[in-house]
Amino acid sequence: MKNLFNTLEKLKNKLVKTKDNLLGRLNILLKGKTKLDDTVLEEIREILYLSDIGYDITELIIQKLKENIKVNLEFKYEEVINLVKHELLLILEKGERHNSCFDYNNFKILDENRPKIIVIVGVNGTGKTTSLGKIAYNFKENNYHVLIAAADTFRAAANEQLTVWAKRASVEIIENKNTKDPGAIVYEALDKAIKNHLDVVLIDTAGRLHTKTDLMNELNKIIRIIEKKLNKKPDEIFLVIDATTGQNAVVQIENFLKYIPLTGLILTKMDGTAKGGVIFQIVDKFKIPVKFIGIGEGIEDLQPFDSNEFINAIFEN
Amino acid sequence: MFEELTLKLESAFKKIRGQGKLTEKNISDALREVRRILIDADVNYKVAKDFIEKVEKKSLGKEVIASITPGQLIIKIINDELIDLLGGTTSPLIISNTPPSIYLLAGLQGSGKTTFAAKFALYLKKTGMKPLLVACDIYRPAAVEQLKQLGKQIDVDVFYIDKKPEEIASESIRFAKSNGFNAVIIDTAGRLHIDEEMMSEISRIKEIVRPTESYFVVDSMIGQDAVNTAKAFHDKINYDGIVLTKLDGDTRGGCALSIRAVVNKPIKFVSLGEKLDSIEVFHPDRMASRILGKGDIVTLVEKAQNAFDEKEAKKLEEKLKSNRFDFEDFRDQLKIVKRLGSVSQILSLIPGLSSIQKNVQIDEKAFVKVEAIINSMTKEERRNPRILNASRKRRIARGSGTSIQEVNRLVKQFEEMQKMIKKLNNMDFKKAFRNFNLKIN
Repeated sequence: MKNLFNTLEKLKNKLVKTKDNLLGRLNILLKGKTKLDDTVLEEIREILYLSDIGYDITELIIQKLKENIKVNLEFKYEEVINLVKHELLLILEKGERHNSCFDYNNFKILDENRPKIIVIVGVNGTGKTTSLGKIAYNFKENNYHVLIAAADTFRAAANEQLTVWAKRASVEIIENKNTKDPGAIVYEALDKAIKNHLDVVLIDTAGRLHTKTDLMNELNKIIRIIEKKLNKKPDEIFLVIDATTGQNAVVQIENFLKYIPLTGLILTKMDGTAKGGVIFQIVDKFKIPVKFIGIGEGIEDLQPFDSNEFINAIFEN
Repeated sequence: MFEELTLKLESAFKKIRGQGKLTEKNISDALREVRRILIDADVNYKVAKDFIEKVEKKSLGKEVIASITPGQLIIKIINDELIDLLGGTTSPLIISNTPPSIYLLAGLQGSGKTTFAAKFALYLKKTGMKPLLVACDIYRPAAVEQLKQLGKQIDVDVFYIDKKPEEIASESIRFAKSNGFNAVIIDTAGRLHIDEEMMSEISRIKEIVRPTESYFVVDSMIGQDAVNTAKAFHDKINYDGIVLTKLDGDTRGGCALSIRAVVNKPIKFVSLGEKLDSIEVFHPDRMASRILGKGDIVTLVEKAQNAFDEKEAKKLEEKLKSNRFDFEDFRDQLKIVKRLGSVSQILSLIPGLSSIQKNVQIDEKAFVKVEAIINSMTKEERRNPRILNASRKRRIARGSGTSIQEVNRLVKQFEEMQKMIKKLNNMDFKKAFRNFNLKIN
């Protein structure tokens, strides 16, 4: 069992590495200001834009500020901060969805249905394999029988990279050097999982740009193989997003959704200066929840996502 | 989304239609829309703001010429200003006088350094150099293995020893010198710009190897944070150029503008695809169109450009009419096509066509060859293709790195084109001109 308090502290420490922190700067800006005039509003706008929150949500928040706080009159800066926090939280809550079969705070599987299937997808270089390694480790820590399927048959040495992670997490891995067909590897992994009554199968897929039709079709095929073999949809399909990504993340998800369903997002590289502001638009638009954030390269650097914690953390300075 | 933007832009332009001059008042709506376009393209907010101010200054008081609409005039100003900010012209690759030329790659995790390293090696190999790839990423699992496998695919040697990155780098230079490699490409681990330990490591590597050029490799999908990372890397290793990766997606790549504005270093290469030969020299004009957006907005830019090129088009029309169309004109036409970007890129920019494009393989190299052949002709030969005899053709083939057969094919195609123009000249001219353009495309 993880100590939740430690998790929180770790998250904050990792997130507050820099004074450039997303909205921490809002605090600095507003302290000492007495009026919410056009100049201050413009500065707030700038801070929001600079955090990749995007046009629509930024303008929405500015609008709310104008409506709720009397322009040009004295104001308490806490009022502004709280209002911005509140609006952002409302957006994240739109994505909150209860998945009855996993408890990620404790990495517990809550029902008897086996094997559980988790598929990891995303564009190139977002940190799919690293995230998968961390998830494998966490389930393994709770004594679940975990199997990794190395279905990235495309990138050079993707197999080797995943094998290192499998070793670190001490879980088994299915890799087939004789085939370039990811479907075949997934099939083999499912077969093994059923035979040996394994708990979780984690499927790593090749990074693919959402504009490549053939690769997107391949992804769809992988999902169909799982459905056919197990008579159920994968329990989770996580899309991994790099926190530095800008507005293109929205387009990415739109396209992935044309081919496969997504049950959650993993926001990686949150230990940098980018804070993944684009997720607000994503959650707002697609109602897909953020499930994890990645805050480093270590095997324990994956944290379950909590809207409140997340917003509090990005407001720290 | 883009359609909506174009509509807004057009309605903003309507306001200025019929007015003789651009004023602060009549362009403010248009500029606000342009600002939104830039922000949606991930151009840094501050950079976008400065940019708009600049455009405003340039626009004010400009007289609207009769032949173009005020909207086109603004778009033209914006496009020119963008190209200017993006570096104006293509920045050449620097090759050291004393081999080996050393190239150092640095960047965040997952930006595509290792893949680019292999692409760059293949690129150098094709120019006749003998490159050595150096694996200095000892941190990410299997990163060395990845580079080794890529090296094997392109038949380029990969250097690695089980030591610290600094030592691998310095050993590799010695190895390259004594083994006749004249280019060394050093792939390093991805690192966060706020990771001080790792940042001093890259700075030490740079000190040790003293690269001919060092490049900051950046994922073109990066958002507002681009300026922070680009600046931090710049402060630490003062790189000479930028490499934009993953441009084969549909990101509009506003970071190109942001990074240029913050560090004022040229963008050297763009990397666009899974195949190891998909690397291109950076073209500021193509990037400008891309940042401004897809389909309709690009058309607006083109319309504006065309309006300005009308004089040239008239000249060409005259030539076509009098059957004086020669290889010189042909080359000009090719340049116009190239100015718009590569053919497959142009196709991908047309909404709805990207799926069709999948099934159509476009041979971009064919264009390069055609241009090389024409360039290898003398001015006289271009003006008067009839004088092309066997020995001239042999020389042209040698000069352009093609074969006599290829030269013959081009000449034949050209003659057929001339015949067609002649035939069409007797018909409706406008229609003929359209057909002709189609033929070239």
